[in-house]
Amino acid sequence: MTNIIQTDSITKVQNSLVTSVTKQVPTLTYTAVTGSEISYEPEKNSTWVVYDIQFTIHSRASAHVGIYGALVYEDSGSDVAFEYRFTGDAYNDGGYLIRYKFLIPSYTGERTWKFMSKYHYGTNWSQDLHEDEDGNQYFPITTMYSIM
Amino acid sequence: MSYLIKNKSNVSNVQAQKASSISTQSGTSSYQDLDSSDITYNCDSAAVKVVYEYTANFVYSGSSGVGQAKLVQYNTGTSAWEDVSSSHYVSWGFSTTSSNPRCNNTFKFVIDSWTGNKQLKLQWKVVSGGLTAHSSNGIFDLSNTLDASYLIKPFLVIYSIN
Repeated sequence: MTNIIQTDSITKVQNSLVTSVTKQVPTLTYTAVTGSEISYEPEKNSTWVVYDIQFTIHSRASAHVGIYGALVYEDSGSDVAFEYRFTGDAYNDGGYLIRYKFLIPSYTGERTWKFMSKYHYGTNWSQDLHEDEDGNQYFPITTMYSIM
Repeated sequence: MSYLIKNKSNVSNVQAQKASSISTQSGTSSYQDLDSSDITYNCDSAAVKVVYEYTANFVYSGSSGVGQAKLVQYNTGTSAWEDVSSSHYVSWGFSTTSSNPRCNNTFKFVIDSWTGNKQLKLQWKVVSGGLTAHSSNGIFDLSNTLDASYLIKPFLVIYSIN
């Protein structure tokens, strides 16, 4: 058998699909962001894997934004953090289209990935997910792919 | 049995690089290089465009911060760095006092293809307030323990579009 796979390319693109979305209210401990979970096995001989997520947030109390995020994968039933992110501002009543992109060294086998978030201390530093200031709701978009 | 996996993608010659270790970079009013943004890239022979995507974290120093970044290329004729074009600039942040901006940005630039190697990198400066690159301003780990010195490694992905 001969397999010819083009190198130096992006391949095995996979996305998370959610069919409905509602406002998600984070807590002071990490919880998974709706639509962030993907079970992904990299293409054989790939060098990197990209995890790319975007979702809408707005300041819950019309004050500040302070969203902590962690990209995690499941290993033997436990969540393992790959990297963390933090986006915040003060006194802006901010609304954001958050986009976090992660470059992950390729690995063998399938891993289940998800992006988890929590808010900063105090509800003035919290935010609602998937919703804008006017209550309009937006789907999150999560994509993974392999770089050969 | 033989089979060919036919790649119908028009994306090719994808290269990625990421800092293995990182220190913070304090922004100034003068342009400086962003870590891990420097690459020598040879387009795919059929390329029409090249996409340069750099991801990094920036946090305020003081109480506000607005940054500006530009894509530059090395001119082997003049042996000097030059702007790719006036349309390859980006800006981000907040200038209001106590706005405390902290953000993770992916800067995406699309460039016409070229022949041979070209060296590209991203330069940045502060235009208002203060900013520090690659700092997180502190994160909480999964156990809810604060890591005040957590750094976020920047990375670059570049590819050709045929």
